Amino acid sequence: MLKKREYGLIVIGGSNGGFEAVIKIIAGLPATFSIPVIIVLHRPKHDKGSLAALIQHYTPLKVCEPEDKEEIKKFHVYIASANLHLMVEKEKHFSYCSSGLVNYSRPSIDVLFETAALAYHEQLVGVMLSGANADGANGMKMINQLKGLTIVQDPATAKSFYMPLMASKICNPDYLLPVSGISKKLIEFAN
Amino acid sequence: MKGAPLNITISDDEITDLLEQVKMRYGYDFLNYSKASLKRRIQRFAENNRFDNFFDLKHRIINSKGFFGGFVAEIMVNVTEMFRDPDSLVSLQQHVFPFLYTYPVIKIWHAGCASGEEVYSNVILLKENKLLKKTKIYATDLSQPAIQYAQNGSYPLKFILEYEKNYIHSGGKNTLLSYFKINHDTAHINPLLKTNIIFSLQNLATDSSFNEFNLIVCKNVLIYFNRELQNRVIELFYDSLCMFGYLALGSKESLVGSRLKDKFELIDRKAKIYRKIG
Repeated sequence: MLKKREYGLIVIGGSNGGFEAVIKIIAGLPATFSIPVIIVLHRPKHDKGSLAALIQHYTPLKVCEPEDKEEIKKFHVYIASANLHLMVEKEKHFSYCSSGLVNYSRPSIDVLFETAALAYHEQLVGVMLSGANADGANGMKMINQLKGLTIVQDPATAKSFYMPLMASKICNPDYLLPVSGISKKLIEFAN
Repeated sequence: MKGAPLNITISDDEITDLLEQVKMRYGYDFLNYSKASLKRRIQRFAENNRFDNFFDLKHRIINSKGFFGGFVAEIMVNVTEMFRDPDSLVSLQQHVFPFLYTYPVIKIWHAGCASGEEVYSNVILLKENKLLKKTKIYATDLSQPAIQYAQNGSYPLKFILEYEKNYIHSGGKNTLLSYFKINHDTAHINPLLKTNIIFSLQNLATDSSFNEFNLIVCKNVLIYFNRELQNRVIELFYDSLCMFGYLALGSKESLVGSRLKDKFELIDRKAKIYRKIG
């Protein structure tokens, strides 16, 4: 049995098939869900913020692309914008970086997860969803090493199984769940 | 890659120690850079250069000036594109260029020009809007190899072909390729487009104002700095702008946290264009 603890942040990563999964998870969270959520989805580099507007349709929580150095606030769902790496600083605010692709990706899931793990340690929950490359696996490993909690979408239920499979191999996740189970688990953590 | 992953073995104290020694030895001040990203890039540099412990890396950086130069060039790499954000360039032409016409001489500063893609994008738009002839552009960066690269103005041909679509979306009137001379798989910018640009070394963290400008373009540079250094740099921009001069920042950057935000007017929220009004 895992020890009861307070979670300060949830990070979610996905690629191919990740969008559908994210919509289901976010739509499953109530307006009282206070833990901030940050989402990185791989997408074309010229996407102009429409993803946040789209996800906003599915939740009463505030959805936005954060500005650089913006403080991470409760009751918010943050979406990593296209073509920049999004990071979490120890001061619990966001920062961006425009260095090269990581795992062929910018934004990279590893970059967000690793920096979030270093900032939040055991107060972090990492969620790895459907996708077809290995981005995020190292990030999940680091979340695990720094005593955070890891949830991986059951590869059998994912549109693309590769990303969740890699993540579960490398980090030995605390939970392997279908998408419907992920929202429920997150709500448990928030209570 | 040998050794254990360095990412959690480099402590914040070690990073600070390294940056303090770098400042003393070379005068480069990275202490007020955003820690998470700087740490990640230093770790990456260590891995790429096959260091398996932090002490060896530090020793090498402090004791070899040549190695330090490569270190700065690599950890400061800002990977950008030509016509990266078409909407902001359309806005620039709509909101800023009409005012630039009114000046007899126009001075523009590209602060943190990296490998030059953004500077040449603007130069092309200035030319197409018949502003280039009376414009002097200062393109600066803190990395010598970046300045050199920007000055050369040579890019892989396949990149230029990829930028063509964004060039059109930015309001381009010709073809992007028409501004380049092709040599095998490399595209060289037309040398005539370089004549109004002065490339030079400049460090936003330590240097002071060196001229007065009608427009300062600084995109995706402030994101590397902590709030304190961002404030310093915005003050430097304020001191370097003429009254009613414009400031164009990157898509996620703003003056919201700045002490001087009331001295600027927001011209376009999405394009992050500001104007000095006080």
